[in-house]
Amino acid sequence: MRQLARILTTLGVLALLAAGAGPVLAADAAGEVVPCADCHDQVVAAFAATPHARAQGRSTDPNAICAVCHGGGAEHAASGDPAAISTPRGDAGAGLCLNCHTTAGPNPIELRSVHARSGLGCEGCHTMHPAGRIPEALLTREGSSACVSCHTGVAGSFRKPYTHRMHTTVGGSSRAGMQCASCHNPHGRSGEANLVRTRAGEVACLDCHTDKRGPFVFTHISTEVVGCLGCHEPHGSTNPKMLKRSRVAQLCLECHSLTSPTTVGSQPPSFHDLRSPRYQNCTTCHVAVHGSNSSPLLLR
Amino acid sequence: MTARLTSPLLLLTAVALAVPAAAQTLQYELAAGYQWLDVIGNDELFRTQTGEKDGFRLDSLNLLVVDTKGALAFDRLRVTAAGLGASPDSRLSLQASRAGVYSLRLAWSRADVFSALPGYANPLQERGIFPGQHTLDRRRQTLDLDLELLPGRTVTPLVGYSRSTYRGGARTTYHFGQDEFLLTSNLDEAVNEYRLGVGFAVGDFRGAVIQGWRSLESTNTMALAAGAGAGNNLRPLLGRDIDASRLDLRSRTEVDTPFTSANVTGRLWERVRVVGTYSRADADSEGNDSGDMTGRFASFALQRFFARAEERAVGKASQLNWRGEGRVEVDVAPWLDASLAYRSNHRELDGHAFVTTKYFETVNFSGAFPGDVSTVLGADTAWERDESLAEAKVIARPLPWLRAWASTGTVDQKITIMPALAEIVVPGGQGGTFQRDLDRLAGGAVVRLGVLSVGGDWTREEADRVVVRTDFTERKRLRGHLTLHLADKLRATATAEKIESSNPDPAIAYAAEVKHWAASVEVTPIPPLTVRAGYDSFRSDSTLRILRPQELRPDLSLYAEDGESLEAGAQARVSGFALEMGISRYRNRGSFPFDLKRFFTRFEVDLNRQLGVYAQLEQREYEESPLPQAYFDADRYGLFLRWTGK
Repeated sequence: MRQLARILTTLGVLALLAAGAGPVLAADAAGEVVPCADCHDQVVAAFAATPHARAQGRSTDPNAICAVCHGGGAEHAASGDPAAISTPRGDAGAGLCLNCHTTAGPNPIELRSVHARSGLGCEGCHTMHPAGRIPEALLTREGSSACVSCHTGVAGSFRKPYTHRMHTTVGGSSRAGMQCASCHNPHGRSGEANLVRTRAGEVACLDCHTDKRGPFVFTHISTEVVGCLGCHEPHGSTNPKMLKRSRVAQLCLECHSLTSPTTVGSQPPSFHDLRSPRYQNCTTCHVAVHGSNSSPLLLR
Repeated sequence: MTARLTSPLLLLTAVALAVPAAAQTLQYELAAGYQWLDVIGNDELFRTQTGEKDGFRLDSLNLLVVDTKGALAFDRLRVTAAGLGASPDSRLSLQASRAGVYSLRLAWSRADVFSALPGYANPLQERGIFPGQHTLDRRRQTLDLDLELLPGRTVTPLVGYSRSTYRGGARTTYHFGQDEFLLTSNLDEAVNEYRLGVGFAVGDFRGAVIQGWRSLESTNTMALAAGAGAGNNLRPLLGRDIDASRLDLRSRTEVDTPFTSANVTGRLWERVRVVGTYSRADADSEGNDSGDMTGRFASFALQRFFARAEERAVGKASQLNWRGEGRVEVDVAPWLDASLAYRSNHRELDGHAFVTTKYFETVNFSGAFPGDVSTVLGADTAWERDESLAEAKVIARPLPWLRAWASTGTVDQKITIMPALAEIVVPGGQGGTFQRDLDRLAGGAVVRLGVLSVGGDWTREEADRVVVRTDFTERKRLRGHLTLHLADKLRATATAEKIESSNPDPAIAYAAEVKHWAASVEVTPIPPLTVRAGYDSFRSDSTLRILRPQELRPDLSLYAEDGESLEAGAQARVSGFALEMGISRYRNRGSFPFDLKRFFTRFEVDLNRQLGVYAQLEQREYEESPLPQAYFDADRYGLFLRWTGK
């Protein structure tokens, strides 16, 4: 309750601050307005339907909108020299984009993203001036096809028989399937920081697999120590359930063999005779492998 | 199907009616039709892998309306949909915005989850019983609504709502009375989440604070499946048959999770940027389980036979998660960036369960002392996990065509586990404090020379000890990529990756190697024709020492993948006709050998400038060589109409 009161107070103060505040971009866009449309009439006309044009408001002079990214352009207008106008690209371009593109959530757009590190700027995947139809998120290639054009090996993983059902652009059969960005933040940093987080800060898997979230009184502790990737291969697996091993007992026993006192993983009692099919399939009895509220041995 | 389509179609109709001719830009594309399936072999396995079904299908919808004159309540409206109808996945989204006033995003999705595998975790396979006992036919639906007010202003209030449901039937098993019984299960789970927050942009600082409240309510009812009373084990136990005439189980779970997330980005000075993120979630769950079982059962723990049992369980768990990160990024020079980051992550859980079981009409194994017996279990569990990461990174651009980076970091993990006594059957390996420190060193470079890009990176991680047996003490990863991009004519990409993980501890003797390389080429010799081909090779080998439980004898767990994937395709468009074809094959010769072949073709004809019709065929043939029941040869074909306008 106290936390809620703190939040509401903060909201109130910020709302008061908002009352007198104007659009952030208006100041950046102000200045000398060059009649870009005199020469670039088709570009300016096409740009009018893009989200960037609309974000400036209806009353903004279209020529002034050009200046937001390209600068004043007076010298370029006078000389016609293409080099005399700013065309933001790479790191400088990203800096400009990030003036507005902040994200209100746990998956930020990073200036030093994993892609930026490799020299891939915003323009590598997005277009500010789409030709013809205006694509979703101004992507140069539909869906995840931009991702797999470089990440060829990942596309190959999704050709395995057991995968998340993907969008057509990654070899799936439906345009409604998952996309790379369902789990990865293409604007995030490398490694674990590249994975999407839920709004409550959990790993992306739990956004859909709500029944695995818990919390459970009897936690299968591997879900906390090594996470989902301890047992599953999210990019596609040769094994059912996207598991790392094709036989259940093998997967379980790799942790549940008490050969060392310094590791986590209990020893199955000796009545688990692996020569019997009954004990080769651990999940026949231990059905609650992700955790249980009532069964210490994860039987229910 | 009708019910499935009603809500999305009503929404689409409402949108269509709400768009008057005042729109200055109107772009739309709609493709819909009917698809049929023809499956030879195991159709349940086909559905497990693809989820496809017969029926009407909205392949795609894309509608964009832009208003520049203020005639509508929005400046931009985009509606997209795909897969409505006979598709395992459906998606519908609506985005509407008016500059400086609001930005609205509404997204709905549905995923059908089906699983009925013949060989996976099937203890009755040797008896010729298929599929396995764990099957699933459920549906997951999610709805996300985010509203941002006064976008682009200093302060932007944020409001959000999400709802997720997961419902449907399944078959599972229950180990009770010294046998396993097949159950039918029906799950009804709903998650509601409300969010309230603000985004802010003050000076050089931007960020957001969001407070959310999430609740989960889940009910799972299970009952003995028809004809499953004999259980999995048909042999008598101590001279008596074990069977069930009634098994009714019910699990009810409620979880409340208030959460907070905050992020801020800003510049302290011209060359110094700071980033901070924080999230915290407190989850409290309460589970109420009950079970009524009737039949002929045995209990080794009680050393008795019994004829009925009632079980009631209450479990409560409180979990706190928080995660914070701070990072400083410095532009040391125009060609050199450096960053320092520190992240800390804490998770802890306290759990308590109280389980009472009453056994009726018990008889001890010698046949005496009939009567009722009650057992009470009170269990307390707890664990706590802390992880911190400190990392330093530099990125250099010494030459316009060269980019190189290096990073070093250390991860400290500490986990303390206090299991309940009831969780321990064989002492050891469950409780205690486990610590692991991991050092990471990485570097890489990318060279971009006009049309050619070549890059590689290397990572080495060393840990002082392991927490689970499949952890490594040393891991090396080497990756390389090459891209050749000749305007719109040719794009060739090759990637290679090698990962070696090991733990030389003789008690574990873990060694794993993954080698994966892939190449693809896409050529457009003349503008209407594109041809592509790709090859992937996946190889992995893993060995790990294990104990076979029946005699506690050491053994080796060996696993191998030897997969090879070939893919080729072409697409062409000539004066109103379009053809697309693709063929692929994935073959694995490793521990789980199989062969998967796919073929796809699509032929499209433009009837006029706005209308077109296309037919498509997808073939999929799958075969696991050790199990004849794991085979299908499926055709999915359909006829669709496309309507486009601008």
